[in-house]
Amino acid sequence: MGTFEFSLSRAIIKSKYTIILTIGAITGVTCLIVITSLFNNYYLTSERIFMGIHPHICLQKEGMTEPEAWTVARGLKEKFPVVSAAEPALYRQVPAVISKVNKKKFFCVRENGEFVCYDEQEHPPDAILVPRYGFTIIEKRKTGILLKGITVKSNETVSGIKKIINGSTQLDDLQLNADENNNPLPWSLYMQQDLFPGALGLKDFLIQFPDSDDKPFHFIQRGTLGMGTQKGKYPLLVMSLKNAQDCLKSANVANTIEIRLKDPYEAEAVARDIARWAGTGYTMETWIQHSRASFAFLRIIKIMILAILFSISVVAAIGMVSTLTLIVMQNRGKIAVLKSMGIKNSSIYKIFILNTSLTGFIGTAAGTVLGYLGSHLSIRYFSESLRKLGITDPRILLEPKEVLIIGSLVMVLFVLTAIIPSRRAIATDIVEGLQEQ
Amino acid sequence: MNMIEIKKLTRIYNITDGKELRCKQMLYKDLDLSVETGEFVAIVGPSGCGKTTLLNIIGGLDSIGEKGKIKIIDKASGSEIMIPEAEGDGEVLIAAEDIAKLKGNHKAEFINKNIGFIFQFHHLIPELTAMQNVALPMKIQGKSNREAHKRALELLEEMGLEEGADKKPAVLSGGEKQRVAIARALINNPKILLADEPTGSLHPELKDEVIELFCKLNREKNVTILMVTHDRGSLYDRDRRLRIHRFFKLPVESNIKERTGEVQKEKEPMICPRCKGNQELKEAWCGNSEVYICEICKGIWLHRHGLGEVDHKSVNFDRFLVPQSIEKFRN
Repeated sequence: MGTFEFSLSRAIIKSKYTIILTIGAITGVTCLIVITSLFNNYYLTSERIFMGIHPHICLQKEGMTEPEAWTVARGLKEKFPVVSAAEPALYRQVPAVISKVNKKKFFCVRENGEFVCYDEQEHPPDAILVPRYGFTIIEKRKTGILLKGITVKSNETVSGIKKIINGSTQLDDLQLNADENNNPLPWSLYMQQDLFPGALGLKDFLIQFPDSDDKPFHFIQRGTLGMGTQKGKYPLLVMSLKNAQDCLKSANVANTIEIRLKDPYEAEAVARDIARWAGTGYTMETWIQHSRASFAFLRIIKIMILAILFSISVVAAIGMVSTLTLIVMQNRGKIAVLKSMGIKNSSIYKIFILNTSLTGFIGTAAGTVLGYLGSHLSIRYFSESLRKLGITDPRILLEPKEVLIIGSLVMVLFVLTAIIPSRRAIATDIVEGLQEQ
Repeated sequence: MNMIEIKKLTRIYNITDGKELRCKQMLYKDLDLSVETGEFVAIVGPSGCGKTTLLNIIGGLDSIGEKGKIKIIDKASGSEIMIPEAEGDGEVLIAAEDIAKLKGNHKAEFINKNIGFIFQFHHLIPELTAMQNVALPMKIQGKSNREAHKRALELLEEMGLEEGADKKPAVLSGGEKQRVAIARALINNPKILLADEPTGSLHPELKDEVIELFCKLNREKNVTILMVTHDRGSLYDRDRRLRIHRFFKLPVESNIKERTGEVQKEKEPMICPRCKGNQELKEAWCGNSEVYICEICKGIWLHRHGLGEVDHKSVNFDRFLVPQSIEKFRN
C-alpha cells in the first residue's frame, strides 16, 4: 500500500530536503529525550527530597509521652487502612554547638579507682583495657538545629529518609550505643550535608545542647542528608528517638507521631480525617504542606519546560510546513502533470504524508538512540553542574511510556505538517502548473 | 456517436492594468464543435486564439465557468473589488458525460480512464525512467507495478523505444521524449487523445514522424484524436479522416460586440494587391510561415502589417507545403 505514492514522493521531494527534514527530526527528538531525562532527574530528586525530609503526615502534641504516642499510633493503624505505618518521634528546634573533630583512641586501665590511659602500643600487658577517645576540634559551629529523634524498626523508618542519605543506610546503627563487650560507642546520626560541607563518610562530631546539658555528646556521622537548598530553615539532624530523648533530657517524651500512607498524594485528605479522629490538642502537617512552595515551583518549571518544548515544536512545524510548501511551489509543474493524468487527491496526500512519516520515523528512531547517548554524555560531562542543582545521582531516567509519547508526538507533528502542503498541492491550478513546467 | 460535443462555449478574459478593468478579451462566443468517435480533428490558428484553452477545457484541466480572482478598483465606489480572471459558459460533453459536473475523485478517475494528454514539452517527470513515466497513469489507476511496467514496455516497443526504457528523460532526444509522452498517454487505452502542439518543440524532420504516428493510432486503434497545432503545413494530405478546424483570434475590444460563430467562419477573403480583386489569394505554408499565393500573377505574399511580396528566389519550394489546389502553382 502506498508504494506508488512513495516512489512518487521520492521524485517530487528532492533528497536534500528529505535530509534536512530528517536531520531536523533527529535533532528535535534527541533534544526532547535529553531534556526529558534531565528533567526527570531533577523532578525525581526533588520529590525524593520532599518525601525524605518529611513523613507523609506528622501528628504533633506537646507533652505527650512515648507510651501515649504508641497508643495513638496503633489506633491510627487500626482506624485508617490507608495508614501503612505510624511511629512516635521527637522533633525539637534547639540551639546546638557542633564541633567537627579528629579523635584519637586510647586504651585505659582502671588503677586505684581512676582511669589511666595509654597509647595503643604502651598499655601494660594483661590489663583490662577500656577504649576511650580524645578529640581535636577542627571546626566549631553554633547554630539552631531541627533535631529529629525517630523510631527505627528492622532498618526502616516511617519517613523516607533513606532516599536522601549519602552514606550508610543501615538505619539500625542509629540505635547502636555499645559494642559486643558493652563498651560505649559514639552515637550515630545523620546530618544535613550543607551544615559541614565536605564532611562525607564516617566523621566524628561533638555536640552540645546548651538548653539541656553542657556535656558534649560524641556522635559519629553515618551519612549526610541530601536535601537541596534549605535556606532560612534550621539544619536537620536525625538520630534515634532514645538518643534524642537523652540529649534533650526529655526521657520518655515523644511529641510527634510520624505517619506513612499507602498513597502519599492522599495526605491532605487523610490528614483532615485524622484531625477529626484525634480531636483537639493535636496539630497536623503533611509533606505536601511542607513542600507546597517547592511543589508549586516544580510545577511551574514543568509547565515552562513543556511550554518551551511546545514552542520549539511549533517553530519546527512552521519550518517544516514552509519547506514542504516550497517543495510544492517548486514542483507545481510535476503535480499538474500528475493531475492531468487523473491522480486522486488521496494519492497527493499520501505522497507528502508518506515522506514526512518516514522522515519522522527515522528521526524518532535515530533521535532516541542519540538522545540516550546525549543523556549519557550530558550526565558524564555536566555532573558537577547537575550536582549544584541538587541532582546528586544523575542517571538516564526515561520511561518507555515517555519515549513512546515523544515518538508519537513527532510522528503526529510530521503527519500534520504534511497536510497544509498537500492541500496546496491539491489546489494547484493545472493550467498554470503546466505552463511553469 | 459524438465522442466530444461542445455546446455554446464562451470564454472571456478580463484584462486589467492592475488597478482598473481595461478590456475584455473574448476567446470564444457560443462555440459549437462535435468530434465523432474515431475522428482525427486538428485545430489550427495563431497564438492566443484559444486552441490550448479549448483542449484544457475538454480535458477537464480548465474550468468552463469563473476562474481565478483579480483585484481591481471599482470606479464608482473607489473601493477594491474582486472580479474573476476569466468567465464563461457552455457545455462540454465527453463520451456523453458533462465534464464540468464531475468533481474530485470522480473527475480524476474519468480523466485517468478516458483521456490521454500529450503536451508540447512532453512534461515527463525527470526523476523517473521512460518506463516509469509511461507506467504512471496505469499506476494511478491502481494497477500493480508489474502489470503497469509490462504494458509500458509493450508500448515503448511499439514506439521503437525499448532500448530507452530504463533511461531518464534527460538523456533522450526530443523525438524520443515525445514518443514516451505519447506512450504514456496511450497506456490506459483512452477514448480520446488530446494533443497540445505535440510537434511544437520538435525538429522539422521529427514532426512528420509524430504526425504519422497519430494518424496510425487513429487508423489502427480508432482513437479519437483532437490535436492543437499552428504547424498547419504538416497536416495537409495526411489522411482523409483528418478534419481541420481553423480558429481566429478575436480582437481585444473595450466594448465587446457579439461575434457569434465567428471562430468557425472563414476570414475576409484576401485579395491580391497586384491583381486588384480579380482573384482571391490562396493560403499556403512555407516552413513555419503562413503565406498567400495568387494563382493569376504567381505572386507570393507574406502578411506582416499588410501584404508584402516575397521574392520567388528566396522561397525554397521543396519545403513549400500547400494544399492540393495550390500544388498546381508549384508546377
